[in-house]
Amino acid sequence: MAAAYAVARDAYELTALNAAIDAMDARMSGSTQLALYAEVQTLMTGQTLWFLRNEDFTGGLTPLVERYRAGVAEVRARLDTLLPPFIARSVSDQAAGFVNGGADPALARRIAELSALRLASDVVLVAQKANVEAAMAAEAYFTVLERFNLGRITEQGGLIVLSDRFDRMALDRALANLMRAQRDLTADVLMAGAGSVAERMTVWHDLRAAAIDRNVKMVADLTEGDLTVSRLSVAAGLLLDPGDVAGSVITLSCKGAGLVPPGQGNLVSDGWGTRS
Amino acid sequence: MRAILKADVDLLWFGGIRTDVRAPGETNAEVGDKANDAIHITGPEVRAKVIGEGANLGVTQRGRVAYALNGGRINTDAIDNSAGVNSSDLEVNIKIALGALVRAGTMSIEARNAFLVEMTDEVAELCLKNNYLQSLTLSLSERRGVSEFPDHVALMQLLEGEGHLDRAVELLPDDAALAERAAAGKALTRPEIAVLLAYAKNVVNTELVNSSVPDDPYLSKELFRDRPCWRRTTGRPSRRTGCAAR
Repeated sequence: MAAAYAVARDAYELTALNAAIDAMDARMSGSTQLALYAEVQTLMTGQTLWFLRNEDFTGGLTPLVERYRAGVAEVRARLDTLLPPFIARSVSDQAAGFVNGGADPALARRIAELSALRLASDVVLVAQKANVEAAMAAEAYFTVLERFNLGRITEQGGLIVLSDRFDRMALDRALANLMRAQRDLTADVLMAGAGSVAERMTVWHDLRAAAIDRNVKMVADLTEGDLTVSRLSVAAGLLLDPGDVAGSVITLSCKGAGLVPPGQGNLVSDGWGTRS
Repeated sequence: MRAILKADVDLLWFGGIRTDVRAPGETNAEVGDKANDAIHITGPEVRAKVIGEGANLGVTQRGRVAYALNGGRINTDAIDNSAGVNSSDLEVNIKIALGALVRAGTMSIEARNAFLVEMTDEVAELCLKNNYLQSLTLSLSERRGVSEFPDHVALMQLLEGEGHLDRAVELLPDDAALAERAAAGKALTRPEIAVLLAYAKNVVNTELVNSSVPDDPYLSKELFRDRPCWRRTTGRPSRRTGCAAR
């Protein structure tokens, strides 16, 4: 836990960010200042869990921190061009709210971006798996995100408030599965061909155009309405196994009946794993 | 005295040890500050927006919770005046560590004294930083309110299960009281979260010290950040004090 915490904190340079918020003491609205800290804290806890689940510390922390810090910096530098419209708007709106509360615009922007910047960890992992530069992995990642309309989930999925512990675990699992699917799809795109991201995207899409288009539509339908654990779980299932349309229908029916669908295992199991 | 305690002001600040504020249901005997029996008022009678506990025992824990549930802003004495005990704790441990160097003749008593004077500001900064961060922790927890309530309940149950915490002793709500809070849409108050914070920190600190974390070259940098004398002395660091002793 300490190792994961240290890597997350240092890859995202959160100590400096916290110091920048500290410097605003008594110079901005107290409640807005707390909102800034809360965003950093959300990133901190989310990324600690991410590193615990997705990385291996046996090679020492320094190489990990260096690789992720470089990847995060690459993504941050390109965020303006990378972000799909939904996320870009959500970030702008949030930054404007912070500025209203007295934050200086640069700090407001940096904090508002964190909900999108946290995806950089996934980008670094994909870059390694597909053996491409972080910049190219980032472009592919956000292209896939936009194609499958997942921006709303990455921005709002974590905001769903549930009081039952097991509901919360189910939500956490659904979101983790969605992000894993997003990573796997990105890697598939990158490995489908050569050339630019757009070229690889075309090759990948043309391989199974009908299935992909159908899934894009189904995921969009699922995520357009209220975001619930059930909808997110089904969407994750669709993306992780795009051929299993029938399976998804069974899943949806089972969840409606309060049953655990076949093959999804025990909600409290900790077999997270990644396909990579 | 009662007029002062009930004054409609922004801040009521306690500067010396005495108990003045209790909960509506508490008797004078339970409060245990006989000399001030005639003066005690209850939490909800305090009209100050904020209570600051520069000294200890100004408010009973039940009094704090009553004041907080009524909308008052309060921590606990341990949170507000932590810098005092924090600095004496550092002082004692630094002197213990340096004592070994002085006894071995490596450092003269004059050099040790000069060293202590030199690090005064740094020690003060560390104490204030802890104080600052603890208060911030409570604010962020409070801000999350009912959405964090299940986590606090789970933490209490975990600490109890491992024998670290006795809710009754610490005046934390029992399961019935917790259900009442949840039903009323309320979460734990700052004084209650403060108690959990203390236990959580103690448990985590013990686990960290007993783990391989202090030996990890990357993670042990944290000890340099928080312990002044590592930067100046050489030799093998002591896990407990963070000060070098040869």
